[in-house]
Amino acid sequence: MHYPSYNFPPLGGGLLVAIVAITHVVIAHFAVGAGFFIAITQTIAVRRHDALLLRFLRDQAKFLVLLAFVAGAVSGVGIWFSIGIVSPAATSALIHQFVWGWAAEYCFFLIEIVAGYVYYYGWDRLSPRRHLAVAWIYAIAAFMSLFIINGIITFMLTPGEWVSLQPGYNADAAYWVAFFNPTFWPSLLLRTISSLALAGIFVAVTANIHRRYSRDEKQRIINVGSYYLVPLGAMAPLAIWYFEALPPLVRELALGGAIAMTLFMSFGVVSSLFIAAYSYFGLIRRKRYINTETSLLLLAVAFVATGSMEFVREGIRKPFLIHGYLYSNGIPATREWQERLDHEGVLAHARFAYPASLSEADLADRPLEELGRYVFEAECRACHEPGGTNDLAPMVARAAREWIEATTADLHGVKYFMPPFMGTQREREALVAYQMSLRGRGRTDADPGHARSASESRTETQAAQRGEGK
Amino acid sequence: MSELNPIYVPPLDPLGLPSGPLWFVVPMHATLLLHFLFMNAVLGGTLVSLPLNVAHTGGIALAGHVARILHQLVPVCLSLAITFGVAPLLFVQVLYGPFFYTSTTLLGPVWMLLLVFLLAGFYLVYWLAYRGSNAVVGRAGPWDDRPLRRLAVAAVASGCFLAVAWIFTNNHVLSLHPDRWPLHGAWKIGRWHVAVPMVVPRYLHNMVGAVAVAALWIVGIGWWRRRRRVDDDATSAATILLGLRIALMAVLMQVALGIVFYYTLDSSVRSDLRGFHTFQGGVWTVVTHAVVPATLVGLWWATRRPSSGWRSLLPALGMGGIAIGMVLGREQVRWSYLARLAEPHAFELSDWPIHPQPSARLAFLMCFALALITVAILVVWANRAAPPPTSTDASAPREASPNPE
Repeated sequence: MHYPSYNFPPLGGGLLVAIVAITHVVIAHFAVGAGFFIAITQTIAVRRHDALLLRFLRDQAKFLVLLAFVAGAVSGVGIWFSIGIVSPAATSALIHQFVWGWAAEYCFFLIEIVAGYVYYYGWDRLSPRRHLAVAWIYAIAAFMSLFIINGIITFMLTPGEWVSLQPGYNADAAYWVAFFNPTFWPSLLLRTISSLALAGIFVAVTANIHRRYSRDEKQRIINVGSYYLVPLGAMAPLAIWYFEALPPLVRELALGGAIAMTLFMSFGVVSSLFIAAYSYFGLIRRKRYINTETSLLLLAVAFVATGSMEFVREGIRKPFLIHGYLYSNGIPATREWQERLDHEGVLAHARFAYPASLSEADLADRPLEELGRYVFEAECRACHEPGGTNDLAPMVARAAREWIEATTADLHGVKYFMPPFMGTQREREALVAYQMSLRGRGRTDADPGHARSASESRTETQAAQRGEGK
Repeated sequence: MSELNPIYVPPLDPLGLPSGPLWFVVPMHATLLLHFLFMNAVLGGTLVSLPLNVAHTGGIALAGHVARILHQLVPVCLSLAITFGVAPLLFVQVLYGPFFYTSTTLLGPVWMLLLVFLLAGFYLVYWLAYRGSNAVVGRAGPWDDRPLRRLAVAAVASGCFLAVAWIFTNNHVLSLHPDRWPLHGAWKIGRWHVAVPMVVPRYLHNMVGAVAVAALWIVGIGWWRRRRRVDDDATSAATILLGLRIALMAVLMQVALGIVFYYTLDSSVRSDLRGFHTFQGGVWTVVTHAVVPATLVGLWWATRRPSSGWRSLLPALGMGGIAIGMVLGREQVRWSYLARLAEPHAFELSDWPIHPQPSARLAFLMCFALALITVAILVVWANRAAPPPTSTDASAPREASPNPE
């Protein structure tokens, strides 16, 4: 509301964040899992003088550096960039609530990077004992990064008692209440298992990529990696724990309440079950060899599993970005703000929703449809990309006026995952008028709040004509 | 400051700051300095490698030698640049969120394109590194005697990093000028250039600064390789001299560009910067009036005897002092611009409400101490690591000596 909005047409901001974030999650989880894989496997390999495994670990470390330290780092920054543009209010809230957490996570990230490079460049140069110590330092630092990030991410969906502590609260106590929120522990365990599983799958991929291993050697390496998929067996009870910790209405969205969420949930569950079943029966029990194509297929399925679950986690947060605190459109979810916007109007606070050439006083004279475009910009654009993802026009293409009016008046009541309309009576009528103008159009026109020339010219002409007519 | 466009700045986050502003300003400066150290190694290193690779095609072996060293250095520095860039990115959002988020949103797709350039540049420099020999890990390089290929890849990588720097510069300048947020009456999203006089001189000043820092890296690497006996004395001395000369020329150019940059600032901002009205302005004044001239003299003096460690160390410390002065001056410029915005949007850090989180801060300090100790241990272990194993294998790592016997 307070910031300009830009949603990357036609993708939409949500999809952009999803693409960047899911990419980063897969890589970051791999980085965590690979850390434990390398440390544990090297501990065993050194004791057994296993030259093959040690040789593979060196290749794996190189892969880790090239993937996690490059694409992982850049995609991690990419998340900051994208969420700052798409949801600046939510990003600001997370930063100001958890700056010390982010700073602590940064410390572990720093250890991770330095340890990773020392490990990779220290092969045959550090003593075996020190080299192994560096591997464990990396693994623990990577896990601690996950530990902290997990607290912040889970807070967005289940802030727990933190919301009721606002405002005028003990911020210090509220910090820990927010961090160790209801889904913190089940989520941490689920992500750890996911990390280990991804590491096991990547072992199969990298063993096949490096052509210097014979088929028997690859099979042995893949078999070692397959044991990191064993914890997948614990995912089901942990997932039940996780869902039990969700607010009931949120849980319902994933379990039938919102068809898109239920669909993605099904993708995630089926993909995970497929990986678990294949790993157990194929890789662990029968110790099968898998070639490059199969390993890449497994990786793709793992990507679908991870991406689907992340998508569901993000989607079931609706209509909030921070549950109970901030709506998806950046408007605070408090009764105080609801009453304030109903009285003063949303456009009194959404300066970037209408052109810079107009003042707030000018809005009173604007035609209803034009005003409605500005209200749309302020309250709806965050999720409904004009001409793109979730475009509003097809949704109202054949809707009756009465339906649009009733739905707009009780948006949150009609559709739980929508935030309530907040604004004056005139603004609500304007939004209805705008939606009516979309009917039969098929697509919403480009940026209402940013492309001023056509709108400005039209309204100026109309204003001039009204003046001449008097 | 322009009064042509009425300005609007989003309100401060109601959650406020969890500690006083200095808790974030100081670490922001510290991590920004480290970020600049490594980032300039990357940007300046790839830029400097271009003429060096050109010189190598002309048969100057030393140029090729130093270019190859830079190509090995850059990927690790880029990782560290990103690592140390995350922290100031966090702190700038904490302290200046309303300005930062608005400016980045107004840049829109250009801001996101920065990541594409960064990723492309990253993989290009890794490609360069893996195609070159590396004495640290004991690897031969198929492109050691192929300066044109190195030149081509380095040129594209340089272009990527120059684009990243251009976007960052414009974003920073836009964040200081809410009066420029509207463009022809609209909130135009997707901008490559902010039409403010300081943008181009600021950008050029920073790019030349990157070359100066990269030159300092060359000097440091020359000394390190001499001490570890990776290079013979003649090669080391030539490397160090090359770095000192580049640094001298770059700092001179920076002074000229810096003066131009200075006069593109608003006069009221210039008077805040000049003198001792504020701590930051005072440091900047001392640096520009004393440290810069001393560093120039020190660099020239060092070139007279590049084999003297002290002669190299003093201007290096001087350049470190210059970097500190510039970072503080940069912050003072920001404070001055934001404090002079038309009311009610004039902003000072003291405007933030404080909602203390002392135990969360303590947890961070413990993690920070742990990180310092752990990283120190890792660096000591790395420094004490044995040289790469030698091998009689024909594919054993080799580095062409720039001084053939």
